[in-house]
Amino acid sequence: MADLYPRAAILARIATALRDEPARALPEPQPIFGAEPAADRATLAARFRDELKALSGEARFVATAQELPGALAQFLKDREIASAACQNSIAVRWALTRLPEGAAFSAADADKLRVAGARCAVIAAEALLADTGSVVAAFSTSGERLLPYLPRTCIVIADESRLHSHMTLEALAPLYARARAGERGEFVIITGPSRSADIEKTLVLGAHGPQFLVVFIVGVTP
Amino acid sequence: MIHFDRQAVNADLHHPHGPAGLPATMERIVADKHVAQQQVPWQELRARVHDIKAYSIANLDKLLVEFEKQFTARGGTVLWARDGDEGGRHFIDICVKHGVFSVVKGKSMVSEELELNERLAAGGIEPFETDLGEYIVQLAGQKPSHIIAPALHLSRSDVGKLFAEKLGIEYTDDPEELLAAARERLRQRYLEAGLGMTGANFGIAETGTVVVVENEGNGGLSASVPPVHVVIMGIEKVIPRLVDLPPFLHVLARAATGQKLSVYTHHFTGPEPGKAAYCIIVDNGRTKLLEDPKTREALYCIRCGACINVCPIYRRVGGWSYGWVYPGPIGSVVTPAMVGIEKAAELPFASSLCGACQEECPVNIDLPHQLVHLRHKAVEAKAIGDAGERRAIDAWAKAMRSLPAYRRATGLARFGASVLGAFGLKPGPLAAWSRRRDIPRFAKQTFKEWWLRQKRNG
Repeated sequence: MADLYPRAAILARIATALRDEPARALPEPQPIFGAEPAADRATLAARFRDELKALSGEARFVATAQELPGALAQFLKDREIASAACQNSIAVRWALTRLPEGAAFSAADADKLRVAGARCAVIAAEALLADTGSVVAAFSTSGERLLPYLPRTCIVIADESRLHSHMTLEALAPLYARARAGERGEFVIITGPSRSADIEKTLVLGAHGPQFLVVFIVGVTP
Repeated sequence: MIHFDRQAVNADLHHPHGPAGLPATMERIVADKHVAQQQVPWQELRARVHDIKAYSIANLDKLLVEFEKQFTARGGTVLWARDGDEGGRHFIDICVKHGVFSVVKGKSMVSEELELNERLAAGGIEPFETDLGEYIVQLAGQKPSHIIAPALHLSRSDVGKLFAEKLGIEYTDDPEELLAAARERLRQRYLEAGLGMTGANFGIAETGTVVVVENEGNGGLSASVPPVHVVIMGIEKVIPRLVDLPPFLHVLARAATGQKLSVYTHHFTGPEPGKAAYCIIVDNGRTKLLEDPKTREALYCIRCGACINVCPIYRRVGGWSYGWVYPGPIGSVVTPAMVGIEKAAELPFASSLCGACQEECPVNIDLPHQLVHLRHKAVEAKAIGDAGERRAIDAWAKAMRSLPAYRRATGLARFGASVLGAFGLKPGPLAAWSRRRDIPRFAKQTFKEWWLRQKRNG
């Protein structure tokens, strides 16, 4: 056995060990949460906001897509954030249209040092999960993959249609389909700002990733 | 040889909040878990993840081959390692191939098994732990004392002194300032490193996706900033499909830290153009667990640490007492199986068999019966106890199988105890036991003798 190629040796050991193992059926995926009364969008948005707040994140609401660029520009001005590294998506590009010339750049083809030097990242959400206050985002270029981790502030843009009550298969299905289709990169579920409790179990925000997570939700007001 | 040493932490550490504070800390973590698990259909989820794991382990060879196929189809390279030496060699070969002299590491217990830091350092490659707890224990020249909270044994003042000494900063015991100091130093390491390493919480066979769950963002940075990402994954981490993952995510963070979800649940599927990704699939004794149907279930473990947090033995002694990578009840099962019962025979006895570990386990792994099974194996292998103890137990076993022998033995014991008791003698091998106890007084006659006498006397 010791002389066999490691792959063959390990697989042979497994096959030998399992020779008496009875056949088992793969359990079919089932909904984790029972049917609940359909919450209206405002209630769902409020649930998301409250969960995110409990995690020290922040949800902001704008009534229409037209108001988003102004709201984002004002937010960055208030926080004195002069540079933003951005995901190359239509929603994000639209959101940045009111920023001063040169204040934002696409991370898709940016160097990691440039992304690291940006004060904030702006990304688009594929889904929002109300029950956990989570953002689901996907990135398929190496520059964009740095966005949710390197800058100190992470801003997420989402339409209210992205809101889901729980981490359901329905919420994640589009991302699963893209992975099955061979799309490379990362999709990530982000549940609050980065944190650590490794020193005496004391919670500190902004461990290695962002200290601030702000989600702009368009089209609903809780 | 791995010994259970209940004095390990006491002997080696300053720990004002170490073992003395462990029970309270663990109690808090367990209380948070109980609150978090009430938010979901916990028992239903436990049953479901148990079933998915049972299927996955029963089809392990097929799923690993499929994972390899899909990981490779998306531009990655899969390597297989039978043991730590082979895993370490693969890793160093990758470093050499890509001209890497500096590695940033996300949290990975398998890399602890492989003693990767020592191997890399010996090869002239600098490894930097990036999980804050791992970073602290690396700076201290120690080993993790808990699989989720590696620096649990150190107080904030310990960390303050350590950072002042090793990083040259002014002493502070403020966790926020200490974290800021670590963040600043490690940020530069990410940007300079030629390679980032992470573990894997799950490998998805149908897509070759690697799932990493963490809170700090160091896993995301280690995987995404350097041009090369190496995943080190135990063979047991593979599950069939992405749709099988959510039930695990619902239980993992709740069981580990009492969170609904960890901050980051990364799904890495293949490298982007210009980047490289490797997955080293490691056996290192796991197939020994698989070979024995009575320990096979230990491979269902998702490394949440819930069994450790609730274990009354761990709470008394801390993680180093278990002598290897994995402490607590799960460590007492996997270590003897992975390194050989003859090398770690004491560990299955480091348990009160109270059953709390199984009760808290989110995958409902029957750890108590596995511990008992391994105790049997340790005795059968003559790996536990000294020759005198084994002879005494053999003699007792013989006496219990034969009525005349039993009568002779109890008569002898009665006589011996009365003689020793009368003179206050504590016989050699029993001296430790009897130091604070009196030798029991036997009745002058057995019940049977008394009964016969009564019968004779009418």
